[in-house]
Amino acid sequence: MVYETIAFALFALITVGCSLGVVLARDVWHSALLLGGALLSVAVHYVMLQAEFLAAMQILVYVGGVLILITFAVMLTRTNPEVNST
Amino acid sequence: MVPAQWYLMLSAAIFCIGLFGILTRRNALLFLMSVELMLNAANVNFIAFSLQWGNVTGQTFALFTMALAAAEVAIGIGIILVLYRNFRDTDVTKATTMRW
Amino acid sequence: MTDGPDAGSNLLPGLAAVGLFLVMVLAFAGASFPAPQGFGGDANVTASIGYAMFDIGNLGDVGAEGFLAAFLIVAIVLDVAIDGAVFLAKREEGGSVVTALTDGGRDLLDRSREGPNAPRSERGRDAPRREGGDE
Repeated sequence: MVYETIAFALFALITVGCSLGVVLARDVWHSALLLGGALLSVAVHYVMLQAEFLAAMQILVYVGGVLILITFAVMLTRTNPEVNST
Repeated sequence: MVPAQWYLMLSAAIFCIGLFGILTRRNALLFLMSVELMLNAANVNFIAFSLQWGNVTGQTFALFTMALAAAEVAIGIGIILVLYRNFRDTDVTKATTMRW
Repeated sequence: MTDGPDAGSNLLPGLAAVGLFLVMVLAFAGASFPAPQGFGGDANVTASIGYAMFDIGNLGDVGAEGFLAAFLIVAIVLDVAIDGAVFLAKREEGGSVVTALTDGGRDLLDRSREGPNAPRSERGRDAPRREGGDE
């Protein structure tokens, strides 16, 4: 029971930290990478909630699909951040 | 299982972070990522209460949420690419053509 | 593009988000739930999700409601999403449909290169197509 609590606290910390990184990072590409970390740690929460199928779907659909799409968009809409930053 | 309140608080934290991202950032891609975070917060609640009440309705509905999120991202990526094509930027405050 | 959080304009949204979080935490801290029921020791959760999603009787180990109508509606929504994505990605140029995903629509930006210092595409293959007009 105490191990479960420790695991929950650890992965909740990772989830919240990565989510904060998503909204606070200056570079969009770093935001996309941190979003991947947040989605993976949410999948770990699913495993702890006895939802293994949902965890697999989370990794397949979000990390394998949505994140790849976002990565495509980040790279297709890339402007030069050093020049363009105000 | 960790008490359900903790999962509620985790979900609230993720949701508020996503809300903060939507309110503060101006990049359309960040909008998309923040919406993903908020949908994930909803999914965490669904699955936590699925285990809490011993019923897989929450898990089934979380699957539907995932499908809808994937569809939303597909449309959102298309819109962002068109936005970038027309305005050369993904800054949503620069797309003011329809502003009267 | 890189809009880092600068303190002045982000103070109010930040306070709003933190305030909402505090309200939610206060509400959740006062809530009390009974002991979690769980799924039982050897219940097949994945199979139960399948039975619930297609509304096939009450065969699963874990109870659920039927979701057949929601499944069909989501299927239609996904079809609409595919059509919408294709509609957004295609671009009519001289009567032919060219895809926008090849270069992020970057060659269309060259159209305004008579502007002050518009970024010009390095690839030479874009230029003849522009002069070619109908293609």
